[in-house]
Formats: sequence, structure tokens, C-alpha cells
Amino acid sequence: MARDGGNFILWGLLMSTGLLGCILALAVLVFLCVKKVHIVVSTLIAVFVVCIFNGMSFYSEITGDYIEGFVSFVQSWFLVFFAGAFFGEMMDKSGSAQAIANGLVRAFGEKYSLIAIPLAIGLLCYGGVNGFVVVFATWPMLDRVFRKLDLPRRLMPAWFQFGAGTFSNCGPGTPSSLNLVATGALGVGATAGWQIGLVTIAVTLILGIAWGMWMFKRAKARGEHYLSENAVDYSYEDQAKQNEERELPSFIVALIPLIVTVVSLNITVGGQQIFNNFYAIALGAFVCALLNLKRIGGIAKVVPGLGEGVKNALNIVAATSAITGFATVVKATTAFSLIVEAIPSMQGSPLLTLFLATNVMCAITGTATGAANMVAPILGDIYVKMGVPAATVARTIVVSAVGFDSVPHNGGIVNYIFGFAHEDYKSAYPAVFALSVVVPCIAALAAIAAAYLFGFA
Amino acid sequence: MSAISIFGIFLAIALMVLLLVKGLNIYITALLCSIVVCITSRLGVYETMTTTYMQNFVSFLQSWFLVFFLGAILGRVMTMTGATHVVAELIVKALGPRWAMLMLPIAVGALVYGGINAYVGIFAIFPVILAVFKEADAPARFIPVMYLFGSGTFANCGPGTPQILNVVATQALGVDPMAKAGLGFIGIGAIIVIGLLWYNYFINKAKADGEHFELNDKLAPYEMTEEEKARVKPGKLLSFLPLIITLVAVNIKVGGSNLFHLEEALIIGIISVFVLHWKNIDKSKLPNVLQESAVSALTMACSTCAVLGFAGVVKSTAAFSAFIDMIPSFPLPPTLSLIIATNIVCMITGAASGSAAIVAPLLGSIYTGMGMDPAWVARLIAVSATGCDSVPHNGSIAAYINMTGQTYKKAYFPVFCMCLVTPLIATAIMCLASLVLL
Repeated sequence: MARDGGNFILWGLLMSTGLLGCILALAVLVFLCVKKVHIVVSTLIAVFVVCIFNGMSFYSEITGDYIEGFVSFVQSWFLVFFAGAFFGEMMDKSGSAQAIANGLVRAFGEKYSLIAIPLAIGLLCYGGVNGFVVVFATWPMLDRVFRKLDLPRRLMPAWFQFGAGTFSNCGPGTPSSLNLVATGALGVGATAGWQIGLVTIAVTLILGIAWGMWMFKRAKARGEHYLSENAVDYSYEDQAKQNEERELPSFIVALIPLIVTVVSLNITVGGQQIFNNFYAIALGAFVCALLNLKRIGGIAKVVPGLGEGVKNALNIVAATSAITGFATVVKATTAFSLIVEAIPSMQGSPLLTLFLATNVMCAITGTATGAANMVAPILGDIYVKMGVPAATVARTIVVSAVGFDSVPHNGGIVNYIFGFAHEDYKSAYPAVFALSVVVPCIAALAAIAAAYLFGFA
Repeated sequence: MSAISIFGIFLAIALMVLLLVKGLNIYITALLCSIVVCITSRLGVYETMTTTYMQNFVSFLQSWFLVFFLGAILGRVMTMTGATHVVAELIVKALGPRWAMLMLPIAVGALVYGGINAYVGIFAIFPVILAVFKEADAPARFIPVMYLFGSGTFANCGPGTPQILNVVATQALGVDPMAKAGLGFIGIGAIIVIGLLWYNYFINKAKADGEHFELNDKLAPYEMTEEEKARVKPGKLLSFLPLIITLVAVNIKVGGSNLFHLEEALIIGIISVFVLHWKNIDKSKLPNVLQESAVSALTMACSTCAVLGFAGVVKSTAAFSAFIDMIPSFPLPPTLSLIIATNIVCMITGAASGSAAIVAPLLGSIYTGMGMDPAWVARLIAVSATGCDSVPHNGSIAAYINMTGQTYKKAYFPVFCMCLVTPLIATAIMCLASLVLL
């Protein structure tokens, strides 16, 4: 009976122009994002579509709901993102990122260096260094290993994104923006739902590495080389040499800031965080700066690092803020409130619904954080009110968000494929899709299944 | 209120000036200085930064982001049509490069005096300003000071202008916006004369030192390439029209209030460019224009937000309001005391209208109680407030420096002379005149 009722309401919704407008707006948003229109511009156009179909005033929506949603995200997250960008800047300038990557690859030995690379990248990202920063520190090494083994260059973006954008930023306790935003929105700690997180990480690693190795083997068997025919070679040897000649901190010293950040973020006394997000990440950055003061070039060089940090933080914050602005407008439509009423009467597993909803948002926006920030306060809240534990909801959203965020219009992937690998989408993207969309989705589904089976949902 | 807290506020302001002029990033400077204020005023750093600071930060973003975004688009599409070049060429041809340069701040002042919002104004005429600077081969680092002088000194404190500064000061004292018109005109006349002499001197000196007009990343998009110039040549009337339409749309009043919101007026302006110059617009470049306008609006608005966050933190301290209340009791002549009170608040908040909004209602009645004429109090607050508001953490300065891709190091000193010292001298002249006229 409940099912019929739910379907009936859904059918009614589909007939309404308001909902049609929202769906059309999402389609427009996808189209514009794929066309690489700036996210602020595309969300404004999408808001326009929503307004027309819902009989709302465009002017009062953009000067009201849209900009309010936009700045509310800036207000809550600017300082944290800023600390994160500064942390990344320090890890890079001090050579710590480099030292960790080098150390891990060396520890695995030449034979397993290929496996060590995504793990090293993942370790950095798990410690809170943004993928945009990690790529500079690790690409020359990645390039060198691929050249040595004569593996096709087209697989490099996939191997990098596997390390930087799947298991590493969805884990419990990581200071990645995705984890902080989603757990923060549901009012739980950064380690909430750790069981689901760990299962996802394990499945992603095993499946991803196995699939990756198979890809490399198959490419070899096909007789592919580092460069495909007629491809122009771009050497990273100068950078690799520079990196080698640089005096790097020892592996342990390099690791300390990461440990400080993750630990201080997750110390709780009586359920209360001792260091809030901002302090924990800033502390890691300052520890890194202090440990490496000489290598960075003294206090005089630390401060400009802060400046770079702000610029990066602004760009990242703006993208998510624009999405949040759009979401706020959609939330204001009557069609939306009808959906919200319909959801509890729908059949199906809450966790699966969260998985699907998060991935749809990911595919649209190409940002995991943005998607989590849309799903968590809306759908997440509904399920929490229905009795699903907030920790489970939060972690399910986080592990789901690392799936379809790796769409072609994801900012990072665009950069890795064109800017670093100098390949095109046709040759490089399928592998990215396999390792960073399919693998994490399977892992998230496995974790959800495990959650139901073993009762930690 | 504690002495340490007041000391902290002034230390933070001194630090702000020093660090910005030394070239430190504006966000970091604002954060550091806010933290100094928090510590000396015993405010929780994290709580203050996440609430007071960020609230003040985003409230500007909320009110102005779309205006900046639309304004940037308008400026860019007008550049593409070649209209702004035609306008600039006409101006320079009619006046000669030297007089054209001198007339720029006057023209800006006339627009602002008439009620045009200063931010809308700079976007609408920015390409023209740039083209005039280029024709006159004047260094681009003088664009911020030219615009700030034109829009933020004589134009918003003059008798009768609908700008907020004049309205706030006169309303709080219950007098007419034209209050003390004679002395007011003497004051703004002095600002114009002294400021222009200084402006002329700076530019001539820079040129004598071998400086030239130079493009940078931020300015280049407002420049046409030679081939574009050869391709598009709109007529004279057609070139002026979008500018006029935008400026009129911003300013049409029906029953005392504006007919269009700023955003709507800008959209009307953008549409007028498209309708009038459809042929001359290179459509393939439009996606890029949108993209870059979004980015530049964001960075420009946020650099202002950063300093406004700092001002908000200072204003929230207990010492700040206690200190203001204390000023009238200093043993000084009331006129001098009022000027000092206004300028200290200006220096702290970096905003002329903001400080008039604090000083006029709070202290106005105290000074009229000392026997000063309310009209004179209002005019004095308005004119003197255009002085010390031009500290480096003034939001408009931050915006214009960011917009033109300059640094405080290169661009701030003339601002200090023309927009801070000049209005103070003019205030003194106005006070002397009041003695003579009495």
C-alpha cells in the first residue's frame, strides 16, 4: 500500500512543471559543466531555468536564495579550506610531499614501485594534502616509473586519480574537504561510520590495484609503448632531477605534519573535538613549517605561501559555494518540498538511495564535496530523522561521493589529462572511468551490503 | 575598556598599513591584524574569526558579488564592440591627452555626485579609463588613485549629493542635504584643486622617470588587439549609447527611489550593448568573457571582503565604542575634536560613510550641545570623513588595486596624498573659511 502511495505521488510530481523545471535545470547544469563553462555562470543559468518553470522571480532568487546559499558556504568553510590550502603549500614547499612519495616508492622496491605510487599519493591525500598539490610533487616520479617500465602514458591520469580521488579522501578521520563537509553537515565526528569507510578502502584498493595491473599487462601484451605513435614527448626529467637535487626532509620528519593533523583532528574528549577543523589543519601546517624552516627558506618564505594558499582556497570554495547556491534555490521550490514529503513513503534501502542520490549529484557537478554538501543536509537529514544513525548516513554519503565525481568535467581530471599527461580524453579517460568511477562504486556498494549484513548500519 | 585593547586596535591598524604597503597578501594581512585585535581585546580568536569576521566578510560578498560579476561582463562586452575605444579616442582628440587625463577624475566625480554607484561606475567606464591612460601613455598604477579621488573624495561629501555619506551625515543631524552649501563647495573646491595639482605632478614625475603605460594580466582583457581594432569601427553615437543607457538606468528615480536595482540596470546595459552592437561582437569569445568575469568579480569582491571582515572585528570590540564616547571629552576646540573623532573612526573602519553612520548619530548631539550649528556639524563630518577613510584597508582601494592588477607598493602612495591628506587640508581650509565668513 505504502509503495503504491509513493508511486502515485511520484507520478503526480513528474507531471508537474515545477519538477520538470528542476530536472531540466540539472540537465542544463550538466551540459554547461561538460562544456567547461565556469561553475558560477552555469549555476546562474540553471537557476534561471528553475525560476521560469516554478514561476519564481529570477531577480529575487539570485539576490536572495542563491547568494545566501553561496555565502553561507563561504562563511562556514573559507577558513578551513584556507588552512588546508596553506597546509598543502607547506608540504610542497618543504619537500615533505616529495620525501613521503620517494620514501614509500623506495620501500616497495623497484619491482613494486608501480603499486607504491598510488599508495604514496593516497597517503598524502589521506593526510589532508589536496590532489591539486600532490600532482606537482608526484608526477615527475610517476612519469619516471612509466618510462622505465615503458607503460603507455595514457594510463597515467587513471593511476594518479585512483590514488588521489578514491580511497584516500573518503576514509574515516581524513581532513579532506569531502569528509569534513559531509560529517560536519550531519553533526558527527570525522571518524563517524568508520566500519563502512574501512570496507570501502579495502575493496577499492584490492579491486583497483588488481584492475590497474591487468590494464598494464594488457597494454604490454598489445605492444603499446610509453608514447603512442606520433605523440609529442614531454619530459619531466628536469623536474625529477631538480626534485632529487633538492635537500628533502627524512621520511619520518615529512610524515609528522600529516600525523599531527589527522591525530589532532580526531582527538575527542567526551565526544567533543579538542581542536576544531581549522586549528587541527593549521597546526599541521605550522608543524610542517617549523620542522622545515630552513628548507622552506625562513619565515620570509612561509608568509607568501599563505598568500598562494588563499588563492587556491578561494577557487575551491567558489565552486562548491555556487553549487550550494543552486541547491538553495531548488530547495525553495514547491516541487522540492513535495519530493521531500514523498521520499519517506518510497520503498527501498535508505543507504542505497543515498548512494544513488550522491552519485547523481556527483555526475552533475563533478565535485565530490559539492555533491556531499547537497545531499547531506537534505536527504541525509530526512533519513536521520527517520532513525538511520547519522554516522552511517554521513559515511555512506562520503564513500559514495568518490564514485561519479570522476566525470570528464571534474576539474582535476581535466588538468591531469591535458596539463600533465598531454593525452586526449579518448585515450586516457576510459581507464580513469574504470579505476575512479566503477571501482569506488563497487566498493561503496560492497560496504553498504556489509553494513546491512553485519549490522553496523 | 582597557588601554591594552585600544593599543591593540591601533597596533593592528599600523600593522595593516605596514604589511600591505610591504606587499603582503591582503587576506593574510587582514587575518593577522584581526587576530591581533582578538588577542588584545580578549576575544576568542576562533569564535571571532568564524562569526564576526566571516559574517562581515560574506555580507559584502552577498550584496556585491552579482553587481561585480555583471559589471565585469558589461565592461568586457563593451570593450569587444570597440565602442569604448571610440569614446576614449574622441575624448582624447577633443581635449588632448593631458587635459583628458585631468578631466577623467572630474568626469568620474560628476557621475558619482549625480548619484551613480561608484562600483557600477568603474565597471561601466573602466575600458574608457584604460584607453585614455593608454592614449596619454600614463602608468596604469595611477588608475586606482584617479578613480578613488574622483569617486570617493569631493563627490560623495558635497552638498546635495544623494551619496550615502552626505545623506547619513545630514539625516542624523536632522538637516537638509544641502546644509552649509557655501562652505561645502569651498571644501570640495579645495579638494579638487589640491588633488588635481598633486595628480598632475605625480603623473608628470612618473613620466619623467621613464614610466610608461603597461598592460598586465588583469588589464589585457580590456584591450583590443590591432586586428580587432581594424575589424570593428562602430559609429560615434552608437558608441556612446550603451554607456549612457547604463548610467541613466542606474539613476532613473520614480517617486524618490530608484526604478531599477543595480543588478537590473547592469543587465539592461549589457542587453543594450548586444542589441546595438550585435554585428561587432565576436560571439566565439563570449564563453571566455563569462568565465573570466566570474573569476575577476570573485577575487575583486573577496579582497574587499577580507578588509571589511577586519573592520567588523574592530567595531565589535568593547574598547572601540568606549573610545568613541570618550573623544568629545578631550580638552580640544569642538571643531577640531569632531574632525579628530570622525577621522579616527574612519581610520579604524576604512569607510567614510560607515564612520559617518557611527559618528553622526552617536556624537552629533554632543557637539551641537556644545553650541555648534547642526548643519555645520553635518557638513564637517561629511567632508572630513573623506580623509582618513583612505587607509590601505579601505574596501574600495582594495577592489580597485585588485581590479587593475596593481600592488599597494606601487599604487598606494598617491592615494595617501590625494585621497587622505588632500581632504584633510581641504577640511582645514573650510574651517578657516567658516571663521572668516562668520
